[in-house]
Amino acid sequence: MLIESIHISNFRQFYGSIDIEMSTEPGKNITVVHGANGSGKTSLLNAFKWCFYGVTDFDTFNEHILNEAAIEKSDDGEIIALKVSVKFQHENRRYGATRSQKFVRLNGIKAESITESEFTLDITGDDGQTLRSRNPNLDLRSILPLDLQPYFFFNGERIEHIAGVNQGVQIQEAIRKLMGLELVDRAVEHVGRVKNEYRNFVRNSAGLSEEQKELHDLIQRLEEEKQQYDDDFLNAKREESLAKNKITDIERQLKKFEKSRDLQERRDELELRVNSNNEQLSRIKSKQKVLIDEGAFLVLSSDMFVKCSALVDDNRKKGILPYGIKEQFIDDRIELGSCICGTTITPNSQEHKCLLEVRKTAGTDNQESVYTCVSALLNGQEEIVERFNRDYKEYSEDLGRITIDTEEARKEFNEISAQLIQLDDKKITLLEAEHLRTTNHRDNAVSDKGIAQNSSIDAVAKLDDYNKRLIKLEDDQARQTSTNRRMSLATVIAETLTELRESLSDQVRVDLSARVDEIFQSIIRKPIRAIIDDEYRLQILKKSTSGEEHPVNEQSTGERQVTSLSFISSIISLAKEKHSKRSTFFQGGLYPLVMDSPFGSLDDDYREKVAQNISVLAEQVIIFVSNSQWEGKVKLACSDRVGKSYKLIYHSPKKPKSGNNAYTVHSGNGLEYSTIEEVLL
Amino acid sequence: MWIDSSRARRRIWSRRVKPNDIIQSLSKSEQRVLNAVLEIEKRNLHIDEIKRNSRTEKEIISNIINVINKAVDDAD
Repeated sequence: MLIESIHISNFRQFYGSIDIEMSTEPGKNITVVHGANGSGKTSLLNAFKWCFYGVTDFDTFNEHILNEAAIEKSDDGEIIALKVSVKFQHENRRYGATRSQKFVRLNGIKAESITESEFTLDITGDDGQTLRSRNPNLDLRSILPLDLQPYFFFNGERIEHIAGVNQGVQIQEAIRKLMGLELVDRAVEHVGRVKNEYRNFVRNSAGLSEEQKELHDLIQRLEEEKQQYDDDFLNAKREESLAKNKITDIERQLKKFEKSRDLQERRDELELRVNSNNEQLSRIKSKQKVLIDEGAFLVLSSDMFVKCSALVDDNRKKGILPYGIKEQFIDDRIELGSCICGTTITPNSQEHKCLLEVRKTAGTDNQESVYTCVSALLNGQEEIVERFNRDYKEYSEDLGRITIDTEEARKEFNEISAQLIQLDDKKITLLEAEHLRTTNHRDNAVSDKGIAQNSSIDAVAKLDDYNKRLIKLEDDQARQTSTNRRMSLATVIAETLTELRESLSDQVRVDLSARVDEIFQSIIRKPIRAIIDDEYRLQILKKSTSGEEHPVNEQSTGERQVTSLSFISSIISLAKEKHSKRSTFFQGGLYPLVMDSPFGSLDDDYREKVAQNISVLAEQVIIFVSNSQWEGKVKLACSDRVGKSYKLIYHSPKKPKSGNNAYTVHSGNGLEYSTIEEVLL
Repeated sequence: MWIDSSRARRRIWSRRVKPNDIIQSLSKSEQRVLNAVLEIEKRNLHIDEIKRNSRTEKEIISNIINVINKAVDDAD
């Protein structure tokens, strides 16, 4: 997809119409719009979102999207039109997407909408014919899915959580959609339905015993139940992830209020403490499990060791142990017919009988080795048990201490929540009430996830059992019926597709993980690396002095932004690569990056590195940036790839203190709005 | 944990095996059926969401059944 232009009319800061043509030239794929704070950069980003999806991410949502100057300049009862059109190319077609909404001017400087926003999509094919889409929303979303828009249109100052560890589900979804894995997903679902069709047919065919019919019914029901459990598991996982994001968002808002800032910051500290405690608990429990697996039998069999030790001691005293002589030695002497003292040994002689008597108490090689092992074990047992008891006690004490600490932290957590609820500020009270509700929702989702997971495991075990019973009941003849063979073939295809889905998803995950780290390494200064783990969570790992890698829990806002930018860029560049080498499974795609303030919280060095890297990863990059962030290193780093450059000019109703400048001018008519001007390169 | 289930074992196995190796583990006729199923899905990929029991879904299922029936009949 390549965005050609955007036309904006009466949207937010833009009074009347403005047009921006984007650069679509390969090698000069950056379009930059720079302007002063408040001149409409975030509005430009939201103009795309509103046009394509009818949504914005303003704090007031879509409430104040109509330009105030347009309201002021109209008469009471006059109709005011708001419109955003985006022209773009995709897969050899040209598209014109337009969203418009009509408002009426009311008494005072107010307006209300008289229609819902209308969305149209015109498509021009190779033959030059333009057709209007009957399902514009569906058609647009098949090109740019709604749930993926945070990866294409994003506010740099708010992206630090986009690739956080809570985003496993979203990341997996993004991979699935952007890489075209939908094909296999659908095939898995449809072949499963086909299998059930065959099962119904078999179930209703003549010659089946009641038991077989019952088993077929049970299997079909159980397969449906299992599918439901798996769906429930994924939904709960998604709900958990959404709740976690919402909690983070609420906490971010609570930090903006002076009254709640300290309490929220304390809550953040407690959260980190609880998380760190949980990690420690899990580590210690694993160590304790290994200790029990390897050493508990020694402790539990202490009595047996005492008895064994006494027996060995007793035999030692009697001179039986260790064995002075072995059976093999006596057998050899008898066979040779002479003793070591030179006496001749003949069968049934007195000497022969003496040797046979000694042989009774002689040991074997096997006994000798058992004796050696038992002796070693008996010698070391005391020390092993002592060490086991010491380690077990240490682990138990650590577990107890950490559990108490977690309980204390949770108690303080609840106290903070109660204090926030009681604060004399309605906004804070409402936010905290929402925080409590969402936390509760998250906990329920975690519990639902566990229940669904266990139920699915039970269902798998039962299915295995029923299938085995059914196979036993079927005779060879029945197995050879064509319907049964068709069902078996459908089963093989369904299982293969499920395996393919796992394998393909993982292949993309591994590719993406390597790419994220490659981009991350080219920007980040610290000795840390980024990976996408088995659960599709983006993790930042750091090597300890012992060489062991562990996740980094705390990153600065700037570092989190670099992480998110690396992730977004890598997913878009991988989709681009897959698109160029299309295979049966991976469609990939060409997606633009439209970014507002991508250099938000980055220092100069990071800004320069992000600017150098980001342009080569996406087919097209559109940046809205403040004039101060644009000038200097950022401009230098990517100026040779900029195809179009614009500046936003803020028309202020007040005279600027330092007079008009390149970005701010006095409107002179009392109105406040922004216009745009192309900067010649 | 999933680890305890046979499904998880298969899942872990699938993750380690390359897609081509999974396909190669099928017989030639099974591979043909798999390709035909994927072709059917590909033809309908432009549809954003296929609703359950919709005409499109019924058509897809019927096409897959035809492919499987033909494969078994050809083997006879």
